[in-house]
Amino acid sequence: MAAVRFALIDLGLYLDTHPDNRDALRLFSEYRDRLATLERRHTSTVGPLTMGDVTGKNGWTWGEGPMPFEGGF
Amino acid sequence: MWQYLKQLEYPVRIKKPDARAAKVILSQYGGPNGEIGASLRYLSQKYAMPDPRVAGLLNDIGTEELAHMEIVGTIVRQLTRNLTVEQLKEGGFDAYFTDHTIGIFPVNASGMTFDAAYFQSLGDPLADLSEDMGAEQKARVTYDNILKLIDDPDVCDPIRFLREREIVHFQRFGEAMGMVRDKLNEKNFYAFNPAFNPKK
Repeated sequence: MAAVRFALIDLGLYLDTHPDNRDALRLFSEYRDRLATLERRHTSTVGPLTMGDVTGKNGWTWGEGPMPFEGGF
Repeated sequence: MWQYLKQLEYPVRIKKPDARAAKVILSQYGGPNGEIGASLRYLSQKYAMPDPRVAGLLNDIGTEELAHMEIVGTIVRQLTRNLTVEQLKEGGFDAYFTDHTIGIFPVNASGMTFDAAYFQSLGDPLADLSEDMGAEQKARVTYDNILKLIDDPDVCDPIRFLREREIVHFQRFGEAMGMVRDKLNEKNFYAFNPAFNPKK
């Protein structure tokens, strides 16, 4: 998931200065779809990635699990 | 606005504490070529950038620098969290420890606090983008210097990632410079500032 997200960050910067590059744009939307699938899996098995992922069904899960800097994801 | 994502941009998994390494890497948090300065530089410059594509690039790179600030903070955290008092004394971390214990505080390698004078926001696209390109190279050199001082692969790996990002950002800023240059009056190159005298 981190690798796919990174690909999107990098492609995003490239597209900022090459907005008409269709290959980069196609790759961006491919990775975007892959990331959406990976994020759904992560939020249902590991925990929320953003505050907006908290459903409330299992309580306030935002603060659960290790923080990224303490060895989380 | 921003939203926090509970994931590092690049993983950091350091097993061995090392006070000496922490002390030099902390410079990329609050030092003259560090990630806090980089982020504040681009996120401040974006407002007066007349070309919206370039303002967008400053916003995106400034945002990525916030993620890098978190990676550097994480590296220092993991290098210091299990230090004994003996180890931190041996590693020359005792002066820092006196003022900050093992909290993360923005200073350079010799302990000077972060200073906004490390960067400029001049409101002139050519001046600002030239500074940005220079800043990326200076940060790249600082990471090169850090890599000369450290051999723990767990530490070198995320440092190499950060070093590579400096090179990519330098490239993107170079392209942004080209975008701005294309819109200038070629006969009168440096005589006006498109952010301040846009009608010229």
